[in-house]
Amino acid sequence: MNRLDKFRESFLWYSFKRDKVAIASLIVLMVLVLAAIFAPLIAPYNPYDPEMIDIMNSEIPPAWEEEGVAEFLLGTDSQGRDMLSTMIYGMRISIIIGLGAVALQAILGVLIGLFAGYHGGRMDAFFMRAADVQLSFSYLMVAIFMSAILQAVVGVAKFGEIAIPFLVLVIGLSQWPQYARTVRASVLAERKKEYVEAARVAGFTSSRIILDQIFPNTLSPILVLSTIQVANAVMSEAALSFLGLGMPIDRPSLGSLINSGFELIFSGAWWITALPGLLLVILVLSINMLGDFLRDVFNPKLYKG
Amino acid sequence: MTNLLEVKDLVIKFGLRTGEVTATNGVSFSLSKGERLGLVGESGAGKSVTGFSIINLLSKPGYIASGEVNFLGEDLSRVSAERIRDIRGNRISMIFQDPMMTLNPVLTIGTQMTETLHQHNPKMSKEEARNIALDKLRKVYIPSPEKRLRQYPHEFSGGMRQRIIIAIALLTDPELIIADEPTTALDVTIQAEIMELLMELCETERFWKFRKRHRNKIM
Repeated sequence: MNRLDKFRESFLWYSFKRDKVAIASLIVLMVLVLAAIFAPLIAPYNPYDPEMIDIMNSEIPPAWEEEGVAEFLLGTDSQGRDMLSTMIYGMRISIIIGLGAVALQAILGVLIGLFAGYHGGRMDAFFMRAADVQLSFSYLMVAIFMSAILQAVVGVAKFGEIAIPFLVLVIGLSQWPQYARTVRASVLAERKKEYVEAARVAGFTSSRIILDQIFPNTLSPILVLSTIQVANAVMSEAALSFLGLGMPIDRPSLGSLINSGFELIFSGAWWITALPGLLLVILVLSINMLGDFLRDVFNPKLYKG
Repeated sequence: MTNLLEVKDLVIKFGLRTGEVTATNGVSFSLSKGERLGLVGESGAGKSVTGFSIINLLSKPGYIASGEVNFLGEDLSRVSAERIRDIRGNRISMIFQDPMMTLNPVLTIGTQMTETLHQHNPKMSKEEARNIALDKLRKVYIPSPEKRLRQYPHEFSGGMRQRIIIAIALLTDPELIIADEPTTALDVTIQAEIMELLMELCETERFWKFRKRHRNKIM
């Protein structure tokens, strides 16, 4: 039996077929992600190309409004960029940062959680206190602090180039305790089971017991947590960019787009803020819905962080 | 002929808040190659604790207060952690009570068997490990072992799982197998089957030590 057939017979696929919300959110998410991946092919304009931007086109409302033009389906922003293209490219950046930050969190948090949970004692106490300390710093505060230092060191112009890895680092480092705690809790339950003892009797080294034997048993809470954390990371990125600490306006993410239109919202140009905001909500909502579905299927006793 | 295993005056104690509890008080026995030995006693008599102390895996408050465990002339209660790990599962293996619990629920039988082999011999090729695993599964009369290797523990019945655990214990051709009440969790007919299998393997395969349950009729 190959893997595809096995998946078709699995409980995951069975419950997925019967859950309309899950199907709808997966479709929405797939459309958004595919649009983000193939942004250069789909977007009608390239928002990074200064030659395609004409300041005379600025603040044109969406096509269905009275002053709208068919060329710019969702209107233009204050610099004359096509909103639709800019949003697709912005979503691409948001998703890259979200996935990158979650990958960093997961690697750090899972490793720390596995080893701290298995070994216990001082190592456990040290890392869990470190997690408590980390969680008592607001990530916004850390981000403000770090970006201020970084901008002073490399200069504002250079900062734009390293903004993506910087955001991945800030969001990733601030959220690892979520993973560490979840994983540690499952490890504490798993390590008392007899198969762990059997592995020890079979002469396995402790790192092999942790990685080969216990880790696969903690995967389902990790998977559920990851969906929620991707949504959280996308939101954190948007919040940081909105505050002007994230992506610069010439390479905007959804958050910096929302920010750029914020000053104009009372002069009637609502679409510059509202449309990226709507896209952000749809993106985060579809991820969260999928996360809820996964949690119901795997049913771990997990606090939805 | 030197003894394979010699346990001398083994005293195991558990250090508790309220003082020390003696679990075994001066246990001595010896076992030569090819010999079988059964340990009989009420529950709580210290059978399991003695078994764990042989491979130096007493769980926390318990410790060996005095006495020796000589395995081929080496005192296992005093060797380094690396040395004992090399012996565990390689030259001494163990079969547990409950076959429902001792297999990892999320790994296939094949993975669990080949991983054990790789732990003790990292240079072994995948093909070689697979062949050894298949060979051992045939020895414990698992039908169509090629297919079974790709299955998960929940796809097996209790008796089948205990056979697989025996096959895992046989993987590295150990000199000594400690069977800690291997049939407790099984029903009577399957108990008889497993016992017969173990007896048969004793004849054909290797040298065994049995530690068995308190019901004498199965002894």
